[in-house]
Amino acid sequence: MNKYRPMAWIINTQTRTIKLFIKVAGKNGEDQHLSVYSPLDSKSMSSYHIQDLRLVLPPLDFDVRVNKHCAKANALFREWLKESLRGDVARTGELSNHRFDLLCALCFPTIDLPQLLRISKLCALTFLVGDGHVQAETSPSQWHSRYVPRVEPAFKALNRSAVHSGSIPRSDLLNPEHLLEVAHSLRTMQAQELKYSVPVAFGTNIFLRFTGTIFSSLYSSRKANTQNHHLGLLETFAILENIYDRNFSNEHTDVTLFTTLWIHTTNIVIRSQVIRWRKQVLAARELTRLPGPSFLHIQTCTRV
Amino acid sequence: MKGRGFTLQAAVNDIRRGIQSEVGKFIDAHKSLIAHTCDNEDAVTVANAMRDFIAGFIHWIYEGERYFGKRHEEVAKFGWVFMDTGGDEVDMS
Repeated sequence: MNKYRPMAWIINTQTRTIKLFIKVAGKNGEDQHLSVYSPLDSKSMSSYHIQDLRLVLPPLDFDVRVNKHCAKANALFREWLKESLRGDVARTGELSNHRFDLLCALCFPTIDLPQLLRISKLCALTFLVGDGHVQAETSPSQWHSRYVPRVEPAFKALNRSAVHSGSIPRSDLLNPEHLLEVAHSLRTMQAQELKYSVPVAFGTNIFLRFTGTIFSSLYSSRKANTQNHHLGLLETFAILENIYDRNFSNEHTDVTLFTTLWIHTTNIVIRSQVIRWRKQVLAARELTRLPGPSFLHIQTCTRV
Repeated sequence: MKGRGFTLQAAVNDIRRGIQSEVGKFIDAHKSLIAHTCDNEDAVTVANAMRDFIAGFIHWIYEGERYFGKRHEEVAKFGWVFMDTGGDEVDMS
């Protein structure tokens, strides 16, 4: 079993064939390198590839680092996930394999354990909402009276324009536990943001903006209000200005550069996620159809 | 994709080129910000946090099952990926 090791693939677009190099264990244990051809249109072979995205990183000129609290955060995160999913072992294992905690340990290599755990939870919630894991477990009427008053601040923070322009699509957001976590994170972050390090404040805003954009997308898809597609960008500017006012000097150039950094960061992250949608090639189509870098890519992606 | 006359592979390649382009622009903006606010530690910290975020995110893609399923380690090792778009995958066992 598993004696064949894929080494590389080469696509010849002229002959529409794929050459597959494989390494085979020989009779005496030595490696033998073979190559085979397959028609590009063959159903036995996948039909597109993406070169290693890590190869785009060298120009950034630094090594990726892992937070030293990663292992401890992982244990606490799994515990939290299990509790959040009410002891559902299978689902806990499935979601643990996504390694949201590791994502935060890689993205925030210098923060302490409490911050790492909090940002990991927020990150997980963001992805869970985006993946549609936040689904109906109770009817709106059952949880509405119990939770909406407490969740309302989170709604407002996540999608202020939706609140102002009409009713919130509560029927789309039916898991009060997850929403309460978001609301709690929002309130805590807003109240204690100054106690957190700058990278965490930045990361928090990233995940909250993503979540807010997803909610905006949900709302927009129901209301067909294309103006809401701009919410992510506008709210991001507001957040950036807020950070800027408290942390930076008052020169306009800083804001412009900072905003530019943010947009490029977001575009890189969102574009790199397209590789996940291997069976939803619409994402690739949409991304290439849009002109130039734009924050609107987020909306396009989250609607897929 | 169809609007620009791209094949699926060309569309995917274009996305990757887009990422590369964004990285280049990020580096330019990063340098400008550092040069402009070199005496502001917070500004430098945030700029570097974004750099950490990009690198961490892209490395993370290869570390779990979210993007490449059970074969993510194989993908991370060989660096090349074939995605199934509907047909059966090659059986390597």
